Amino acid sequence: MAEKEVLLDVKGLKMHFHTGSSAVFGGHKNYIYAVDGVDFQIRKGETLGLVGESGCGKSTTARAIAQLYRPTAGEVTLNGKDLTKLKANDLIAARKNMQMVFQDPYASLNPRMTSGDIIAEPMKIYRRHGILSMSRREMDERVEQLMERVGLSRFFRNRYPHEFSGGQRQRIGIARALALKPELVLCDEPVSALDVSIQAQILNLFKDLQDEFGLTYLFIAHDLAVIQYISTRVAVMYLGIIAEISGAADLYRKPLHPYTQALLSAAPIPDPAIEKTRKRIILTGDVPAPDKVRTGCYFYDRCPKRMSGTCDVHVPRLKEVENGHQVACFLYSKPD
Amino acid sequence: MPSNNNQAINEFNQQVKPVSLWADAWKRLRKNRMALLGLWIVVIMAAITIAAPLLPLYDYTKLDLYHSNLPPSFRTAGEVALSTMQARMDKIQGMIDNGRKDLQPDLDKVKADYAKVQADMVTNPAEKRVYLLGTDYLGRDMLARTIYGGRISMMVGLIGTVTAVLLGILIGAIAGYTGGRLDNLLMRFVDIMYGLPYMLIVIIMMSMFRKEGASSIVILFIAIALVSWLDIARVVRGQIISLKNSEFVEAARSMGASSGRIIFRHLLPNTLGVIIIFTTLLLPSFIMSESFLSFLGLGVSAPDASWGTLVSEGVQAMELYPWRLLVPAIVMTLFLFAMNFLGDGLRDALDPQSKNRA
Repeated sequence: MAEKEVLLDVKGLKMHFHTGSSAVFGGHKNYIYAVDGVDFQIRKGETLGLVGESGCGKSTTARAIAQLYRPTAGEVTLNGKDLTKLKANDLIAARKNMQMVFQDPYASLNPRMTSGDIIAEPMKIYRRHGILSMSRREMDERVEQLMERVGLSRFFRNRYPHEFSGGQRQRIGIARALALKPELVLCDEPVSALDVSIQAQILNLFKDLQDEFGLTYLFIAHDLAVIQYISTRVAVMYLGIIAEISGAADLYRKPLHPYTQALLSAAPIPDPAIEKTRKRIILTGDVPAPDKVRTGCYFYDRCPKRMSGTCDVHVPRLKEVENGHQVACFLYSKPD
Repeated sequence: MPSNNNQAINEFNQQVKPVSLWADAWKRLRKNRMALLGLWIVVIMAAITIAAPLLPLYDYTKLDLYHSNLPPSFRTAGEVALSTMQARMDKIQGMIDNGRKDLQPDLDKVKADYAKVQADMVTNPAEKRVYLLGTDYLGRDMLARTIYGGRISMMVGLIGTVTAVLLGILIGAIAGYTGGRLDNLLMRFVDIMYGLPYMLIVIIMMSMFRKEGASSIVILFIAIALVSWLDIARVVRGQIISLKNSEFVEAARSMGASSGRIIFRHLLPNTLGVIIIFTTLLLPSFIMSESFLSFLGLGVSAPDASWGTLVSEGVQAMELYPWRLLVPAIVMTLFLFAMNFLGDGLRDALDPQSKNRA
């Protein structure tokens, strides 16, 4: 795995949102620490699954990588270029290689545009920027080819989004993301809004497309089964940081971080006999609000294995414990 | 899995060429009969008013006191005038017979007029005129006055609406999309404009600029344009704010779409419904406010006419000469009705989701 070249390198990514205080009268400022220092790398051709409960900053991470939000701190290096430091024009050129698929197939397509226009839009934009040179006919052909590839009839190109089902809409969203032939696709919970039967179809489509075009995915989901199915590596997020990151099989077989253990124990097993014997680790309390600067482990409040004196005064960093298995927990390493 | 067979093509589209929002909208508008009727009425009325100088109309400013308050008729003016005078003479004669001896001079006057018109019947070409819709109290042709009045009323409505839509959309979209300090600045300006009493501004403008030779109609246009865009700006801003964080806008941004493209291709098409509804409501209100200003003597001044002035003149005599009120009132109502049907139809036509209902 290590011989493959790194496509996306995220270092110390922080995304803090300013809230509360009035813009006119000043006063002290409140922040939401949505993403609070995230590091990971994605190699060409692999799928990094990003999993975590609601509000842990998964989507914000994806948006900060896509530069939809300008990150507060950190580097996002795609193909050797740090996106956070690029000027608007260079950013557009660099972003051609990185497209997004969104969560809600009902909200992510403009209701006033036909599916053909939606899929053609990225090509039109990049043609206008002078980055892409395609004739109108070539674009038309590409739209039809993309539609057929994602499993839609090309005769549907004049239809509006509301005339499609959820699964078909998500296929349009995928076709749009593929229009510019990107290397990296950021998938922000692309199957969460779909029925389970449709989820499987879309997941398989993602896999097929990956094999065919050599795509690299950052795949966000909160469904552990989905992540297990699609990912080569998995990162577990909690409260704006990454708690554990490892190869998928490794992580599911031997979770190290107490949070990952609790998370995996919560996933139901589709076999009643085993399901009965499943032991759940019940965490107490709710996820705390990400609104203050933390001086200890982010999971300290709810951790069943916390060590006072260590975990509440030092912030654990991601450390490699085994080959390719990194975890941010003092059970496995001493504070620096 | 969606079927890849071609079953569903025929129901929606046989052609594989891309269809623009407008071409598609036109297709749907054509199916809406009320909207189409509205469109035809608006187009025909607009065409008539635009072509007014070319039409065989009598001069709408020309007075003819012998022809005052003639009812609508297909007969020539002379005949109608004679028969109304005859009726009046009979009426006065009857009152004199009932003891009102003091009315004798009035009877003599009408008799003299009668003799004059009778003598003119052959020589004066004016007596050969046909006043299809009657005349007003100064003997001016109501048909010509209504058509020329329509010119000014439609102009007022059009100018108000065009500035409202252009300026309102632009300022509303910029404020809503940018947000923050610029939004605050623009919206507080709108608040201030709202706070100023509109009528006062118009009156001040009229008294300030009228002396400098500018036509009062131009000042009226400016005054209406000045405040017309406020409502639309607010409505558009609200719509843009509610839409700008939706995922399809985020998707466009992630594709590198410029702000202009996002506003014009993604946000505004989705606010079109509200804008059109609002515009069709605004247009009548401009025509109304023009008539109110004219009623106060601040708008159109004689001998020019607008539907507003015609109606307000007609109201004063509606018991004796109802056509003077009914003619401009019916024409104006018809126009506003047509406008509303057209607006409603446009809103439906521009909303792809109403495709199946149309």
